Amino acid sequence: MTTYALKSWVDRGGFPRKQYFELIDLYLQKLNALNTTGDALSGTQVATMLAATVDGEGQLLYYILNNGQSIDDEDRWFQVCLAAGWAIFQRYTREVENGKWST
Amino acid sequence: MSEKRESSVMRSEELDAAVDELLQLAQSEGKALRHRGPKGRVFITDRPDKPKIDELLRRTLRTALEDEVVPAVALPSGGSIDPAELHREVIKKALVTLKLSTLRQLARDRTLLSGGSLEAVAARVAEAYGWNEEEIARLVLANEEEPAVDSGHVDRIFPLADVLNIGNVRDLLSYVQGRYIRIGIARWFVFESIDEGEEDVKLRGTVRSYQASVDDTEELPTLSVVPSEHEVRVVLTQGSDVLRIRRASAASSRAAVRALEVATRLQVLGYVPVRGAALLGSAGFLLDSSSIFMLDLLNTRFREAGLRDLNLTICRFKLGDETAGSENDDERKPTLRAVRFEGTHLLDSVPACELLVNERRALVEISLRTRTSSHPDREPAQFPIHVGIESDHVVVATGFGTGQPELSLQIHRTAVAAVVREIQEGVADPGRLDELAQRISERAGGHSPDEADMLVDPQDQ
Repeated sequence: MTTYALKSWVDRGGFPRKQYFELIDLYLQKLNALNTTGDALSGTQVATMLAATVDGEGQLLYYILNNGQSIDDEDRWFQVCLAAGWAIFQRYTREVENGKWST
Repeated sequence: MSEKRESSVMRSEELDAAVDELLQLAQSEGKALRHRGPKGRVFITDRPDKPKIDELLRRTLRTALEDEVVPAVALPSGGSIDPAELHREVIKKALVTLKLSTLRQLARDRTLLSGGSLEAVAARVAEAYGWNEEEIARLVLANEEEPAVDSGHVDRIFPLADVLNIGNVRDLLSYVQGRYIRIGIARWFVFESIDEGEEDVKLRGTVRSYQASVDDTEELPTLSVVPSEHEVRVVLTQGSDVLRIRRASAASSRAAVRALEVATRLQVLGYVPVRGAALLGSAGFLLDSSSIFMLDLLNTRFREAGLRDLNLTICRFKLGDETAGSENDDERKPTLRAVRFEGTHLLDSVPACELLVNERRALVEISLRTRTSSHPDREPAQFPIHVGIESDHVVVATGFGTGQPELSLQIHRTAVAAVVREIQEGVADPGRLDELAQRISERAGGHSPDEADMLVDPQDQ
């Protein structure tokens, strides 16, 4: 399951957009405290933390199983969570760029 | 969360702790979201067959954080690189022998993200193959397009962007002492020991690197790994704007410089400055800047430092960009990138003078002999000195000579000090260099003399 396929999960009504975006602000703050290079973060760090959040929350697991998908092994489940992390982060980035969310 | 440090180097265990802390935060925030989000959402909170992905998350986040933080890993008692890290790096090294476009395709084939650097894509592909050596070897074989100090004293002098604050450098080096950091793919620098003086710090370290290639001579392809290890000694002096690396190749020295830049935040200048050229008259427009550096060294600095009877035996001139041209390898057009003269008293030869002033070529390497004796009654011994201007540093090498080897180190130190002053202070005697340039210009249009006289000093006669 790709990032694109998980956009529909992120774009559904009822997705806690505001809560996730607040978490991204918090994660960026924590990650920037470690980043001494002055370069922009690569995105993978935030997406991975979001993958952990999605895994902990349990809603994506319900969504996947309810759509007839399986979670065969840890590699596959990890890829699904990471793709979801990217989908959320991409939406956040888009809304920051459009001025719909301010950090 | 660990406190933010001045350096981008972080002890490995501190980075591990930071990763664990970040992931614990992310997972607990995920659980808390169940109660904070809109009503009516359904969660699966406890399902025994749900795969545990903590280790994959931890490894991915740690690798991603290594873009910003360089982990300094404590050396185990055997002094080796962590075998698990080495295993992963060797696998990446084998994968990066493939073209980036091929690696991206391999990533897409496994429905992985295909963006990012060569190393990032290689790591993703390796992860997808479970870091399995045999599978990676097969993958490389299936996708590759083509089969794929000397004796004496040597110092490399790197000009720095700023003067050294030795107290600061000492503190930052103590932080990484006994640890290693990764400075490239399958390449590490080990900060072994620090010898602290009042005015300087001597760092002893080792560059450890591994070459990886696929061995397909057996039934099953395997990865063949060739390790190499090079010791490097670095001298850092309070208030100096150069750093000195002893008895190391250019590649090892640059690896040490890279490690120091990361660990101590010092910055090398990246080129060899030729200061004071603006004060020159005829030499300024007759000579290339590298030639100005070399000729001032020969004509004034070495003499001022007490080196006598200088006999220039090798000159190497750069004729073009020596690093460029690989894209023209297929063409049949002949290209001359450098020319090297060997002989004696080369500065008196007409062809060398023509290259210097008529073609204004860069004199980038010289070898000379100097004669000296430890006692007036003893026959003087000859010592070879080599000076080369590299893209980012100057190398000085001194041989043990034809006798009295005990003098070799003293001569080497003298030559190194002269080169350091040339870098720091620039042209020592502009008037004298102008006169030399004028003589070279006259020689370029004339004949070689019966007896060398270009570098003759009244004190030599």
